[in-house]
Amino acid sequence: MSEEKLSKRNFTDRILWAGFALAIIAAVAIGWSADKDASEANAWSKWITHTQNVLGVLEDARGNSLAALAAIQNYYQSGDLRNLDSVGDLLSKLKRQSAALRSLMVDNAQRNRVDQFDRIGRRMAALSENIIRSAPAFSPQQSIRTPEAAELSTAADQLLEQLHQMNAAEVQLLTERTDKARAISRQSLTLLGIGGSLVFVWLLIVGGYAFLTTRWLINTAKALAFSQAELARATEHKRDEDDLRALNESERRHAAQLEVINKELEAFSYSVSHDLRGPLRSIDGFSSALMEDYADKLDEQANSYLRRIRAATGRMAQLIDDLLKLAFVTRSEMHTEAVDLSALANAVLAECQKGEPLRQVECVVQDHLVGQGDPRLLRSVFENLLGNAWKFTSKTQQAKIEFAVVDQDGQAVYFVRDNGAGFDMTYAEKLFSAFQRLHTTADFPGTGVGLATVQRIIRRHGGRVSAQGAEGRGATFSFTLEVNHGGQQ
Amino acid sequence: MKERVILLVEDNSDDEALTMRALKKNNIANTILVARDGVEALDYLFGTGQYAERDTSVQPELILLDLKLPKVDGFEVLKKLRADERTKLLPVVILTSSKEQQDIVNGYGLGANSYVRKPVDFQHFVSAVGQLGVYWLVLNERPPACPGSGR
Repeated sequence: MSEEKLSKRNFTDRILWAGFALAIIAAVAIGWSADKDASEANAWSKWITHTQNVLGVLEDARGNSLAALAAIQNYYQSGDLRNLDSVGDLLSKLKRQSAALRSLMVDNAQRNRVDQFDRIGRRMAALSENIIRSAPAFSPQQSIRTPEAAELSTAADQLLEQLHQMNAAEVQLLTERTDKARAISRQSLTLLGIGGSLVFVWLLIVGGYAFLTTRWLINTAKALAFSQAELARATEHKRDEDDLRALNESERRHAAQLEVINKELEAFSYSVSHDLRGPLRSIDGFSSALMEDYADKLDEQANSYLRRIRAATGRMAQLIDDLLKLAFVTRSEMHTEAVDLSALANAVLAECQKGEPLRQVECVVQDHLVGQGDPRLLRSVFENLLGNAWKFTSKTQQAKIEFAVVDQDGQAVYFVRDNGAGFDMTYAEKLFSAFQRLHTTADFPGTGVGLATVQRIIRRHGGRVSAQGAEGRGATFSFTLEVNHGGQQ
Repeated sequence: MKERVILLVEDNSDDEALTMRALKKNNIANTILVARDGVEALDYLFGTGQYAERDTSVQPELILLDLKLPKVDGFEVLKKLRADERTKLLPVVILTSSKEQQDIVNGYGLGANSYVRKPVDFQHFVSAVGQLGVYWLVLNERPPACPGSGR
């Protein structure tokens, strides 16, 4: 997200909040204004009701006034005084009504008219009483048409006139007040309509904007979360890939190194096998030629030297061969399978016997011993161990060679035991080093590579090898095989 | 009767001398022709180079081939002579110091008839050469289809 876009967002956010505030203020203002209008309209409607009440009273008074006028006119026509009695009743009714009107009337013009009305009423009452008091029981026609009676009639007209004026004024007021109230409610409605619409539109805009902003924020958040997840995944993936690459790289390097080492070893072995033997062949061959072709010219001493030379080349050749075997043990491929160790031991011992048919050796091989291993390499182990036992019992009376297994903590430990020359345990460690010998070549021939070969093979099988012995009391060589399917079957 | 030649391909003069001695000691009277590298051996067999004038219808009775040779090694020589009509059936005995498995497999793979490792002990070597001579020159029947057969 660019900085520019973010700051733009901040700016529009401020507008958003301002918009909301404005909408709220506008709504409050409209509400307040409408409320004011409503109370005003309410006041006006009260006034209208008031006016209507006044008009009602005026209507009643007009009825009474008309009745009084009619009674006065009846009296004027008939001279019947009972008509004047009813005029008196009507006047007292009108007096109460005028009092009511006075209490209702607020403006001075109308009050003056009420006062006028009262005065006329009081004058009429006075006139009416005078007529009744001065008139005889049966008054003739002539006596009726007095100035007082005429005045009473005029007063009644005036009374009606006053009522008419008051009524007109009240009607005028009513019209004005009704118009006013209508105007207020129209204004209020307009205000409410326009203001409400404005607020609505404003809210719509602001709300829409808020919605869009929210959606933008949500999308942005989602996108951000997704990006983070992606990043996390990518990072993890990358880390895994890096680890894998590093692992592959180191493995590849190791493989390459191993290959180089193997190549060098192969080249070395080849060189030893092919090139070191050549000169030995020449030494032996020409020594032999000397001995054969010049036998008459060489004395016994010279012949003995030549024999020594040839013996040395023979030992050298044997050393080279053993070295090659040792190298082979290290670099040859392992093919593990179930190997019949008992059969292997018997076969090797039979070969030894064949090499020296005259020797009498008691060979005891435990039956049915099967171990997991490479048959070729295990054969080498047996050739060396049993070959050693055969060799080192060559000077022993009643020689005995044993091959068997013992169980040690659930593991099969195979051993080859003989009752031969044995060895000093002090030097037991040296036994398994290449070219280390604990006996002279004169006593027992050998190159000292055999046990080193055995140790390498057993180690390649994941097992271990050890030796116990004492000088002149035989030796026991024990070994284990890692992949072991229980020795005895 | 044409010459019954034994072609000895050997670069080491000591080995050459000892092999000659061993052959002599076994009373093998064939002409021994020595090629001191692979190129010379091929020149002789195919009548090229220094042997351009040679009648290639006459081919050796037996080839004793060392593996480690200057210029063109024993395997290459073997491959080329097995690929040529004139020489493809010739008996070839690899006579070498090596007993590397790879060499043995390669040798037989390219069509060697035999693989013998030279013993260091000269008596053993004489014995081995004697047996080779008896076997390949006397006991063994040469392939009749082989052109240039002396018989």
